[in-house]
Amino acid sequence: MTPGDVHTARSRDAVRILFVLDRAGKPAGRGAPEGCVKILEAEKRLQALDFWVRNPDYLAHEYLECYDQSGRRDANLLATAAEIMSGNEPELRRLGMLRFMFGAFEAVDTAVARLALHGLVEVQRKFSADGRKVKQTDYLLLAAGQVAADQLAAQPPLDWYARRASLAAQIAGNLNGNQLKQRQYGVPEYGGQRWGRVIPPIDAKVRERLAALGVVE
Amino acid sequence: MNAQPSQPFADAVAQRAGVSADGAAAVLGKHGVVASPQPPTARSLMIRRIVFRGTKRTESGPAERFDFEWNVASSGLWVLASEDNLVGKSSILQIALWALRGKPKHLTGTVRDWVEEVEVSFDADGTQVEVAFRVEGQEPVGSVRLTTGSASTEQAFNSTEQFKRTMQDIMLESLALEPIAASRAGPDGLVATHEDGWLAYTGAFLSDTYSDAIIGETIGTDLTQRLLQVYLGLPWATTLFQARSRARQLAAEAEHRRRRMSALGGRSVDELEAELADVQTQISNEGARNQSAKELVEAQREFDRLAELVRRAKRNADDAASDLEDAKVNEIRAGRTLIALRDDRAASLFLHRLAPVCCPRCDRPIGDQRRQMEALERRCSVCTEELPAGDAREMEAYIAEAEARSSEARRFTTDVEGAASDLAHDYTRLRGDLVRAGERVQSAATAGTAADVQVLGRRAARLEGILEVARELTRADKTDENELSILKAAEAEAGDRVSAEAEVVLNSVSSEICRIVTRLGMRDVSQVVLKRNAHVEVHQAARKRKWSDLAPGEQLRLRLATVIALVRSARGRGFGRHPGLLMIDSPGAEEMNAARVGDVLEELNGLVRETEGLQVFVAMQGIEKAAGTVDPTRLRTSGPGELMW
Repeated sequence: MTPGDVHTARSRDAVRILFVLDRAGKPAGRGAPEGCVKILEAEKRLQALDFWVRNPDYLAHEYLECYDQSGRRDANLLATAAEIMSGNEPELRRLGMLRFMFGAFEAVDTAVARLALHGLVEVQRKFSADGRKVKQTDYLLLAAGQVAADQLAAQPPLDWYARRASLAAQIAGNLNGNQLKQRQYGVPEYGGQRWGRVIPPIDAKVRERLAALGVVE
Repeated sequence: MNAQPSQPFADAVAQRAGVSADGAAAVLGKHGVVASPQPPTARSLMIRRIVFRGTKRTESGPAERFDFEWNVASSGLWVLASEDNLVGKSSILQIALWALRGKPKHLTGTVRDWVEEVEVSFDADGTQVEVAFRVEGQEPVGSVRLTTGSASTEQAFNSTEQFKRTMQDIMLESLALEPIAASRAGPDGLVATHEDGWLAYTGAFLSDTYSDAIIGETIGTDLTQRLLQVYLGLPWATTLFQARSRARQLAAEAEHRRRRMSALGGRSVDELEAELADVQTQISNEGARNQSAKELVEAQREFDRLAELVRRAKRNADDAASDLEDAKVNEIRAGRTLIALRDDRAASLFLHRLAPVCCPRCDRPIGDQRRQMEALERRCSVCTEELPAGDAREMEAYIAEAEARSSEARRFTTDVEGAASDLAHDYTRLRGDLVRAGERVQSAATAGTAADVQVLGRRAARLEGILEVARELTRADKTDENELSILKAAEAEAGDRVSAEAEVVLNSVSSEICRIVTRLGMRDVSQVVLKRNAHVEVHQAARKRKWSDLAPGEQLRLRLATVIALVRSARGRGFGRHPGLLMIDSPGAEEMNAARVGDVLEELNGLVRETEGLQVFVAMQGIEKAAGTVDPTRLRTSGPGELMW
């Protein structure tokens, strides 16, 4: 086993989070801190979006759900699902996540710290009335972060994360963290997994569904 | 009597049959055919005393005891005479016969029910035979005492069967009579030899309403002929009867075997062998059938071979599929590592180019001083620790290694995939072969050709079974054929020897009968011709009449004349073997009425007195006639309205 095998890819994780904030963050409104361009409210939403980027089979599943909900009329949705599932990509790109109390979770502190170090992102916490409990953590994309995200989105191989963040953001729409988690629990393999265990892949199931829809690789 | 044939009997038979004398003697011995050129001399039989007791039970009157006793201990004529009929004369003779035979002859059921005790004694050529029995529940229970000189023995019996056997043994022995060899068909169709015994001989002692032959009871039967020939004492007659009955039995057995053969399909051994050979030829030579059976075996063998191959291919394909899964997992893992390293390198290169702005921990700005320190002193502008050297080169090395691993893993997967695909294809192909082989087995097993071979096999087995039985029957047939030819030769030789002697004997007896019957009142009889077959011709007034042409009175006279002639011949000329006991029962209802018996009684009395060893009982109607002829001591009578007992 070489050091490469145990590489934790902290920089890659930081860039992925940067893209999620860029593509899923809503434009900063009035009253936003100075230099803030976009804001992504609540860590739960960030975790839900990151789960879809890290698990292409679950993302493709959501596109197929949307395709069905469209009355199977929006061929783009089906094509997107097929593209996500092409080749070995779901297996290669999969970054497994553990199932915790509020669904898939992996601490983003290190990645966010990396981004904050360079003035790309800022973390804003809202506390309870008594000030003893963190009520919500918001992630602010700063102007330098926007510039960096734009530059990185044009740079292979990191552009892949930018595109996936966009696809995840498109599925998420305006839904909040709780709503996204509820949607993800709807997949039995996810919702039924025991606490503390890796959420299992559903690639075989999604491929079957694609084959049933006439998509042959 | 003619001189005996000079050649021994067995030699003569051997010559006729074309076999060796030893062979002929062995077969004759095996079948109990004995050369008997000279029958034993005649022995006499006489009744000494007749006693019976019982109770008459009639519906009309009270029970009445009876106790009859008649001492008749000498030869000569004894008469039972009555004025009326149905007074018990016949019963007296029948009870005497019952004791003599061991079995009633024509005793009426009523009298038999009344009789409780019987004692009859005989003189059988010097042996005193005393029969005494009670009737218990229809069965005789008693004994026979034999006394010869001072020696005495007693034999008990308690059933009719035992009584009959006892009397047969005693009387045949005492009178030196052989059982009469005969043969008859049993209920199973098989002919068995048997010996007509004492009962048959006694048929010649009584002349009554049932008598229809010159001697014995029924004319024209084989038994009558034999009885006549035995009583005539013809030399070789016994041998003839023995040979004839054994030959008949063997012939009947051969016929029985022929019927069994015919039950086997009526085919000869040769035909059966030909049929079996044909079936075996069909089995062995019919190419198509043979081929089919062979095909079945080969198809089954091929199926088994393929089944083994399929099992191996399945195992190999499963192993390869499992290997492929492992290879794919390995390939994915290597690919993930490579992607992670490349992505992280790109991200690191970008981020490292950015200047640190603030501490992610405390949010304080990182000033120029810190940034210069990092550039000049290679110390981290955040934590002030020394920066690691050679980061970029190390990362490149990791990536190069990961690329190599990933490529290798991909190639390995491709190889394994190829192998797994080949093995899966092999499995599919073999599976198809196996299914087709199974269809061939099924087809060969159920196809008519293979099934027909099995049918032929069963038919051959059945034919072999039939042949075995047929050969056994044929072997027996050949053995018996040989023995039958010897027995036939013996019969012919004995027949010829009997014929050579018979003419003399028959002529002599016939002359004597003719003389006696004339004395008994058949006038104008010029010649009587007694034949060996017990037929008789009476030449009278230029007419030739047969037995059936004679009136009953004439038949009675002829029968009396015959018995008397036989007894006189035995005493005077050395042949004729009738023991000399005769009972004449002439019920009044018969055409042969009392007057006719009365007519001959006087002459009969004379003849009986002239003939040594003859004891004749006559039951007749007409006391006067009887009283005028016989001594009163020899007469039992019952007047009008009286009973004999």
